[in-house]
Amino acid sequence: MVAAIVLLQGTLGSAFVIAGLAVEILGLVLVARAHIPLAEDRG
Amino acid sequence: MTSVEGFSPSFALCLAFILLVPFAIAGVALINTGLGRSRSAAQAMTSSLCVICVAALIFFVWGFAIQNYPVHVDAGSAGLFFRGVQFGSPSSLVVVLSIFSVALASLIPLGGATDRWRLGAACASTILLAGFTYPLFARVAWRSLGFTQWMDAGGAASIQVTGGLTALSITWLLGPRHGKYSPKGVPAAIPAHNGVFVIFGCMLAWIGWLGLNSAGAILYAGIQPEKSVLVVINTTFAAAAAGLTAAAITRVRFRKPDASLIANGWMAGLVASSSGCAALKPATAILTGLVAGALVVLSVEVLEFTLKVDDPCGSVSVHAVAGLWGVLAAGIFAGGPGQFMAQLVGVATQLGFVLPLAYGSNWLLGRFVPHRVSIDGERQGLDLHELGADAYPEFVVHADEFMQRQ
Repeated sequence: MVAAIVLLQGTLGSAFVIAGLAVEILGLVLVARAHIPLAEDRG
Repeated sequence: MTSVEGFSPSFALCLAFILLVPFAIAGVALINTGLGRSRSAAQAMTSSLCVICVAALIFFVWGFAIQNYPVHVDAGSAGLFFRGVQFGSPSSLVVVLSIFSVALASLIPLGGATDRWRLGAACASTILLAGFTYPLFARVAWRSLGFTQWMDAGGAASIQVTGGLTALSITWLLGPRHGKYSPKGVPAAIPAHNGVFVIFGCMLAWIGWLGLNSAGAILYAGIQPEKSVLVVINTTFAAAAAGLTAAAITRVRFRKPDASLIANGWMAGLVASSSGCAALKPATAILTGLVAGALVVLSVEVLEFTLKVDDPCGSVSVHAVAGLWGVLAAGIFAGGPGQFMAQLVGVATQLGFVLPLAYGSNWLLGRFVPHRVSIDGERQGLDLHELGADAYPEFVVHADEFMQRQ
């Protein structure tokens, strides 16, 4: 990712960063959902 | 470094700012303790002190060798055990500020893990944070990648978001406190045991943040020391706006202002101000604070109710969420599209590099050093279980402190 940011300039670089961030946020949401305790584990 | 040349009033002023930073550390420790249960108060403060000890020493042994000076500071390269550091030179101010910064970052996870994190595990986890996570991000930001135009004078990303995402990792790994969620998933309100600690901690943190942001603006953003007046104003205004916003929102939603959320709002304003404190105008600092104050209330609710993350002190919301907002706000209010993109790269690095590193390394640590106290220890309270002595031995405070929501 670091190399891509250095190599890609202008619009292409911006698009790469935004796309990468979108993928990261999707991953974050999935990881967060995976950590919600199951009903039988609560209490 | 251009701003501080030789021993001069500038050097003395910058050192004075740096020496205010321990107030921020004390403030965060008090807030974490006050928001926890009374039966774990002494353990919370002891953990804070031990974590500061570990962070400072690990940073001395190899942490600073990894982080090193920012590229714009012409001081060569430092090695293990501070080898190569010219004590007394202007560049050595970066070393002192970094030690305090890593200590502050190391306290943040304690807030998310309150009432259930073993002291030994907290110290071991601090080795990972102070020895790898913090210095690696700082190095990437200031040296390796250079983050062209990267703006983070007071360390909203390097200190606060790094600490906040580590807090999220630890909170996920620990799971919620016993009794926090009913079998139906409804969270119980476990109130702060000492609101005075919390609010006094906020005031101490204010002093510390004035020093942190001002020193960072001089050393990392290269402002002239006399321009730190603007930094002080921006920091205060952002916190004031955020605190009032949280007060107004909780007053409208719950009919009464919520002390702990007002404290979280105040802290979120301080955190959000850190990134662009040297470049924002007072009006945009207020706007940054307004959004931070609203964001932190929303984030606390989403984490507690929707994601079932038991973060007793709101560390994830205050330090990670408000910190990320502060980084973006600096790009929005203090520069053009290029600046915003530079800030976005910083955010992407935090989410894509710091969070997996913090989670993965602490997960691995947990295989060897269990993070969580036993269920009996949690019921008994960490003071007696881990330290053998209560914080308040003359008070009867061990009734169940849960208030189930209807």
